[in-house]
Amino acid sequence: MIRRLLFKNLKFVYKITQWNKHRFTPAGLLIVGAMIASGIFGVDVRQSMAFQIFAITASLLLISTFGVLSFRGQFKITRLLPQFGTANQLMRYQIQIENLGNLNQSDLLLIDELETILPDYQEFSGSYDPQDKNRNRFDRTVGYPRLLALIRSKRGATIQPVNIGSIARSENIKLDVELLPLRRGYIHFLQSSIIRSDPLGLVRALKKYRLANKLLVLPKTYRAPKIELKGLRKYQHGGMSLASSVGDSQEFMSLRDYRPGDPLRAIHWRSYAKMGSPVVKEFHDEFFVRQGLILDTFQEYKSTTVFEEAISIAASFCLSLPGQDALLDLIFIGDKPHRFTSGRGLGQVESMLEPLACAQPCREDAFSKLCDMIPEYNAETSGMICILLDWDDKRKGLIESICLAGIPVVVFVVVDPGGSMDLEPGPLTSHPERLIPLPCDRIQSALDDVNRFSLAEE
Amino acid sequence: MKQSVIQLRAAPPFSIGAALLVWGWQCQFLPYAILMAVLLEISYFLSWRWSITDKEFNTLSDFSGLMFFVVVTYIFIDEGARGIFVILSVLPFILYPLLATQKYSTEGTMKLSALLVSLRKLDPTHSQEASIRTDVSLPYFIACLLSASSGNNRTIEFFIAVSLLLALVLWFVRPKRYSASIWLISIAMSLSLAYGMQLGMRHLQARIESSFLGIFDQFMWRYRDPNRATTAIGSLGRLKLSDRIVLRVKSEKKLKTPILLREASYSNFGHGVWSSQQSDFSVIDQNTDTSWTLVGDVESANNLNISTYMVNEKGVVPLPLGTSTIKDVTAIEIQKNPLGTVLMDIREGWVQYTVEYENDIYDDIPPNDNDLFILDYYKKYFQRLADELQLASMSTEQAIDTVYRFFQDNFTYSLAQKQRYPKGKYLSNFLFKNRQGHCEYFATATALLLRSVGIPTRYAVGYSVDEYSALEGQYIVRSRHAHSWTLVYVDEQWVVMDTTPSIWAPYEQENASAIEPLMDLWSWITYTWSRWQSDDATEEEENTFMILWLLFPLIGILAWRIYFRERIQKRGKQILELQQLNCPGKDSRFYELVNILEKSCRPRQAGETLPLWIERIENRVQGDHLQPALDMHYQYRFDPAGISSSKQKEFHELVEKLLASKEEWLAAVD
Repeated sequence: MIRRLLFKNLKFVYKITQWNKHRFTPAGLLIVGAMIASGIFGVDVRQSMAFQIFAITASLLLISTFGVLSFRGQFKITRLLPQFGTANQLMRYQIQIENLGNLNQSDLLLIDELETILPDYQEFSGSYDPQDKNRNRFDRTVGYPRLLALIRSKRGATIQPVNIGSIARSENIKLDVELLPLRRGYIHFLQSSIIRSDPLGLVRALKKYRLANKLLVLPKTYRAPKIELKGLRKYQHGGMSLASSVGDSQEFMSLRDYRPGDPLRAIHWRSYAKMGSPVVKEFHDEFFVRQGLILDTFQEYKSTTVFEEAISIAASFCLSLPGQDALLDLIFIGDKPHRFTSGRGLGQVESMLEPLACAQPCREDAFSKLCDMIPEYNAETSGMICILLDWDDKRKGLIESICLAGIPVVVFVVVDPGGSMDLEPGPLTSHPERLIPLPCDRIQSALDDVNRFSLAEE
Repeated sequence: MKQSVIQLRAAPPFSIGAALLVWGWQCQFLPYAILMAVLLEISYFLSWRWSITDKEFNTLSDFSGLMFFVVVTYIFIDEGARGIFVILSVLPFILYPLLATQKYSTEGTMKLSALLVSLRKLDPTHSQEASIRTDVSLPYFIACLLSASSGNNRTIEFFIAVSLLLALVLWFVRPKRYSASIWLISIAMSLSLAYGMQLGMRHLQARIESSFLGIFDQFMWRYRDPNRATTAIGSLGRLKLSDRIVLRVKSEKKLKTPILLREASYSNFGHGVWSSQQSDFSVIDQNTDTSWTLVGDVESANNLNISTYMVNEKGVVPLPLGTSTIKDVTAIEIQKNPLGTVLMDIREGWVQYTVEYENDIYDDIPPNDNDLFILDYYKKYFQRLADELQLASMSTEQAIDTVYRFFQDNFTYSLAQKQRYPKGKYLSNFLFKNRQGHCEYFATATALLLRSVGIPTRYAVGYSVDEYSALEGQYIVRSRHAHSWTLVYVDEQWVVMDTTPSIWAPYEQENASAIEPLMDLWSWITYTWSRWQSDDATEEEENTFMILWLLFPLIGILAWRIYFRERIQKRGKQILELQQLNCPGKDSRFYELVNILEKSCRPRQAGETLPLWIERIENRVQGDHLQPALDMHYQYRFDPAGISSSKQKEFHELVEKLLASKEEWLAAVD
């Protein structure tokens, strides 16, 4: 009850702080601070002259507030966004402003705002901020910095305000805006505000323009080794086109009569109409290398570092694999089981990065879903690269089942900073070099150390 | 990710110097202020700067924080709550090192984490707050103005100076889109409004004070008006007085508690207010420099030493009934009114005096018509009750006894008034309906009831001394021990009649705060300090204070020792763990041999080395392999260069051989 009340108060403090930041200039905030302090010391006008400072500061703010009541500028704003951004990489986009009013404007400020959905209590109490361990007990207990971190993470990026300078009547200018994505996934823009301060430079007048856009922020990537496992080329029913389960066949061979068991989509309807009996299309059967990239998304504890690194590693392999003549299947469980295929002209790598950018950890114990899903693809998969968040019995069981199916597998285990690097090979006893721990703080150097030639050996 | 954001811009040139001069002028620190201002502003003419690291800024900020803490503690002990303005006045001194260092640093700004310790451990690559830089010059400028206000020089110059300084700063941050004339008009409008506002604030406070002075007098602090006492009769809700210690009473003899200390007596009652029309005070003649006699020619057998806190230089002092002499106090003047209220003109703060008293002697003037007066409004109720109790047919003593028993048997003590009644109905409700209330109800009802049958009464207020503090070795009186009772005129003497059920004191004790012991300790420390500073402090008080202050460094040393021991333990533990980790040869099988030999032959003595022990027992075991095995074990265990694999193999074989043939060579053991 008290925690909930405290949380409501924290949200209230946050809203007040944000309101203050928008409505007052830094000098205005200083005057507000002076007004509060002098108000406290000047409660008794006989004890000190602080009440006079209170009167002066309050009057300055009052007159400034009157000074921003009318802001007659009219503008047209367009946001020009790139297709993608990368997490933690500073990026730039443009905002186009057209002055539609009758006055020349100068000394304006532009603030581009992202959508901010404040967390509810459950979200707040279940959140984890890695920086918390560096904070003092008060901050940890009260949780205000944690709330700020959570709001920042939900918002997804920080945008620096931009000085517009002067814009003449009917002039159209383009401004460069700096955006720093703080996480992967979609970030949603809400509105752009043009700000003008009063003659004293204390209070701001805002003109808000609602501009809803979204930007996909891709996970950061590493330089990943090209791993070519010595797996057999596998028979792909329906050829390369049907290998991805979408699109029409490009390897059409002939027509034949329908046999029970043939898929409905193979029926050639025109011939059926001519012949009066079902006729199906026959495709070239193909044999080629098809690698699976399994991403473990099952994480029981709150730390997101390991999961985020796993996503980055998976994205890195998506970019480095497959080769010219191979397919790559990305398999993971999100809100539902996912399998995306790229390579040999079937799908672009970007189509894999988007689901990766939006992947969230599965908190519930549903690892069995992944264990059930993998064997379905055993028959057509030449080799597997697994990116795991842990190396426990459940995961060892999954790897063992893949090994028993005769599929070569390389396992990368993302290890928490300070976690043990000495992993017991388990089902990979015969190929211990295929179990590779990747410490969170040294991912790139650990990937650089991977000997892809030894992995390729039988 | 790392971004360096500067949160505040620097104050305009010479603005801080000017603010320092205003502060120095208002707070009488002008020579220091000139020096400080010159040192700061001269930096604009100097080209050299120091390279100050973030860590050094942290240290400096910690130093300023520590200085602030020490100053706050010292001033609060010295001045109490009033010290807040003293602290405010010295703020520019405390923060000056930080600002001067920033001014002369190459960076010209400091990290926000220097000011906020909670940000220091944050990783700047992941936390934006950790890399924010700030300039403390503008906050320092505001601090100077606030400090200047504590000088409380009530002249128009302060308003003008602050207005000009703020205008100067705002001129530098004004938006360039507006012309100077618009800015000037805005500033002029603001300052005109401010001038009117500050005048309005003065008037507002005067109006509020005149309306609520009575409430403040009663609840905020014990200030007794000898002419008027507003009771809480009719106040809704729970009456809660604080646990604050307001009096200290010391007696050489054990007291028969509770003792009542009277502050004032009143004779007229109407609508919740007791007042006195005979409040002309007369000055008491001084016997010696430190002694005043209130009642002459009386041999007083009892002594009390009373300490009380004077809110003003002149105020009512509590005295036991029948006080004949006040002594051991360097008061300027003592006055007394006909109703026995004593005013002392001495000084603010804790004062101490000794009283001689004899409970049988009362010097209050005999009763007059005021002491029999009841407002017509109340008369009917009290007449009705007097008739019910048949008081009119009784003698004075019988009537007093009947009234006392009536209140004791039929009424209960309560601090809560839950229901609202029409004005003036509270007493009738107390007498005939709920029959519960606090001491003011009992004392007022008793006084008026006895008056209704022609017995003169007065209403007395003061404190009941009941609580002994083992810590202080004297009686302490808290704000909640405030009490009221009735004085009845019997046989040409005023006697005390307290009809409030005796449960009231324990009842109030139940409502005591959980942190009362801590507050008491703090109260005692501040009291001891104040007495130590006082000119009339006794030797015993000075010694107590010295002991008290010796305790602080001792506690500090003890805390440091405990902390340090903890560190030594931790470090020791770490070393042990390290040793366990880095112990090559700890797995030597020679130890198995040692175990067998210890069980079979004589065990090793404490501190006996392995070679000495082997030498001692070697003649008792068969064979001569032990010594070479021991040599190899030592090399395996302790040689920094280690042992070669061939020698290690040889050593293992030898030990294995000895272990395998232990029956043979142990056969020789007695």
